[in-house]
Amino acid sequence: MGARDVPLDALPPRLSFDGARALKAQLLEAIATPNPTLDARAVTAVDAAGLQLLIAAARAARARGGRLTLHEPSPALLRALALAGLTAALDTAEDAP
Amino acid sequence: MTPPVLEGFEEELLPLVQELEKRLLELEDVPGAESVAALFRTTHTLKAAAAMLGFEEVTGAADRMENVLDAVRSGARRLEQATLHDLLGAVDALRGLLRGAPTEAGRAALAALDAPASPAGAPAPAPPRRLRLSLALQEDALTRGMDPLVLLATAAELGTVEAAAVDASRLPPLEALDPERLHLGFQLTLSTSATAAELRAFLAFAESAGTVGVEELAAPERPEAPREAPPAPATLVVGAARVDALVTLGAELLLATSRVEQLRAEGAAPTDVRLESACREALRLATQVQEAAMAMRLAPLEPTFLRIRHFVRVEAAKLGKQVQVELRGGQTELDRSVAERLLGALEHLARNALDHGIAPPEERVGRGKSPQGRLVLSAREERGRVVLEVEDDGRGIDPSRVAAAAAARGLLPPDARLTSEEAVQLILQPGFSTAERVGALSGRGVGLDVVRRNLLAVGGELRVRSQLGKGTRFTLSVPLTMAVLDGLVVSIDGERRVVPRDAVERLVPLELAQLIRLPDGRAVLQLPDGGVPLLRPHATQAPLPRRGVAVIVGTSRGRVAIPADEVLSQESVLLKPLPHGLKMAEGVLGAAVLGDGRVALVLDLTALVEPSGAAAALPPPSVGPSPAPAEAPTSSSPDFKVTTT
Repeated sequence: MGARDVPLDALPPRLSFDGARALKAQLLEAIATPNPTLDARAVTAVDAAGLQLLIAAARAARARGGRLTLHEPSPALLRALALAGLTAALDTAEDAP
Repeated sequence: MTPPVLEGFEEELLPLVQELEKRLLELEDVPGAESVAALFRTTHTLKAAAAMLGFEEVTGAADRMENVLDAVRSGARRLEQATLHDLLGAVDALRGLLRGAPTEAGRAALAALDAPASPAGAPAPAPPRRLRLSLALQEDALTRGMDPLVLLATAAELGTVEAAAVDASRLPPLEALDPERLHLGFQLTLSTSATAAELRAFLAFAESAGTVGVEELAAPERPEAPREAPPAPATLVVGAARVDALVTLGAELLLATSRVEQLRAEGAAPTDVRLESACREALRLATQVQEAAMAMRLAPLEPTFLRIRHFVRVEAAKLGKQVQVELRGGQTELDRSVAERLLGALEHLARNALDHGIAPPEERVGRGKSPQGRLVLSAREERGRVVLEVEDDGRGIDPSRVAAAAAARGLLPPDARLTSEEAVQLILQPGFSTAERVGALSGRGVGLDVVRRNLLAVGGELRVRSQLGKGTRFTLSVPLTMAVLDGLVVSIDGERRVVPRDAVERLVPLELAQLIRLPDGRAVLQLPDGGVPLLRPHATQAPLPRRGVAVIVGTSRGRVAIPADEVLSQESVLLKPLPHGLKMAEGVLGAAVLGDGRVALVLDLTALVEPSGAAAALPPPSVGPSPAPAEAPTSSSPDFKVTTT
């Protein structure tokens, strides 16, 4: 992360039905900033509940004129995005500026 | 291929692959639980190493092999010849993967491993289909523990995902979203060998949670042009001891040359004994460095032999013949690149012996032979060359059949009779084959002449001896290494040419030579021990040369006199294949870099000498008696560039 002063808001390991309500709250908070970036390195499991929250958050950010960036998405997250054909749709960053 | 985590470590895995191959081939001889267990361990080691280095495909392939071996080990699967063959094919596939150029055959062998051990004739893999899976699960699917992503992942296991899409049209804004209800639909297009019904059955458990649609799409357009794999960079696996020896010698050479430099700096006169001795020492070390470097290219022939034996066993079984294969001299070392080219030639000769030489058991017994045929593969080193023999105790070459076949092709008059020697010369001619039927193995018009040509390309020779009813012996002789050649540098029509030193019998000044013209226009040089034909591009018209020197060379096909303006030097030259794109002219072995850095073509003598004996009865030989045919793009440019490879 090096040059970044403020630590990134990190996604939890499980983006799933179990923690869906907490994730929704976290994402609502994140999209309050202009260009939210979420550290996605720790994600180990994703289900459809987690996926639809990410999509909704990305739409919300875009509606506010910004964009949601997933920082260094983990293999588990990338696989989930691929199965939904979303690899290109969501902004992912290997290394945030 | 997924880029490995640690690129450039392919070579680390090659020795394991080689060991695997060796063990597999050994298993053929000594079947037993212990051999299988050893093989299993090697496979496991390879798998672990590949996984550590991040070679996913290699890991996967090793895993498949391991599964098969595990089943054999536990007795759940019998180790049949076919299984062994598939495992060897998988080894080829592994090698291809490590070189970054997996072959189709390799992939097929890997796929074959997955097939359950079925009675002969495993079903051909079904052609790939395109299936589209649509998931429209109910909103409460998640509460019921049904995750569409799991369904998608399950389906994806069955094939390759071509396309995926999510339907988020019913997804409420984040603020209004009930995160425990499902608002997404999914579509996945899969390329798979499974049928629509199979996929539907596979996902049947999800139907209680909504709609699972599977439809078959039109066959995929396959723009997949035959993928030409980029040539893999050639890599060598060399024993550490040989590398260490070279490193040590390199250091010594450096010391010796600095000693020369130091003496020179001190103003030592060229006649100074110390300087002379230092120079000699440097030269001695340089020679040793060169030898040590060359040794790295050498490898024992054993793996090649084992492959041939395996090949013979598999093919003999198909033909219903019994063959015992004997291997001798597998420890003989040979330049790797030469060995690679030899594999094809040896395979061809073995194939020939199986198809035409060794008869079926009944016929053999009828002739008073043992029902089991014998095929001997041997290798030995002889004066800087490696001599390989493929010998069978089969029918032998029948001169009358060869004569009949030649007559049928209009090559000989119908009543021609051939000696055994002439018959042998004839079957080495391009396109000649005595195969009366198109055999399963040979007889497809690819004849022995191809083997001969391949050998010529590496400076080799092919001889045949055959005794009717007793058997046939093919003798291949190839240079130990392709790279360094002891050569006689001569000037021919002002161009420098290199004649391999080994072949030179003597030099005869043309002023003193007795040259006579034969009625057919050819010139012959008279020597005390017989006449030698004179090589000349325009032999029939040009006046007989009266100046210069005739270089008398001997090859397995006879002697020939090469008229040269003069002999320039004798030196060890570095032989290089002609740069890619330049056609190799007939009679040219390659290019050589001479001591002064200039480049000269090396003459390929065997190609220049007309076959003796049956030659007169044959159509004009395809090899013109010219050291450098005019159309050769390289012959007139003495200083063309040679790229080092």
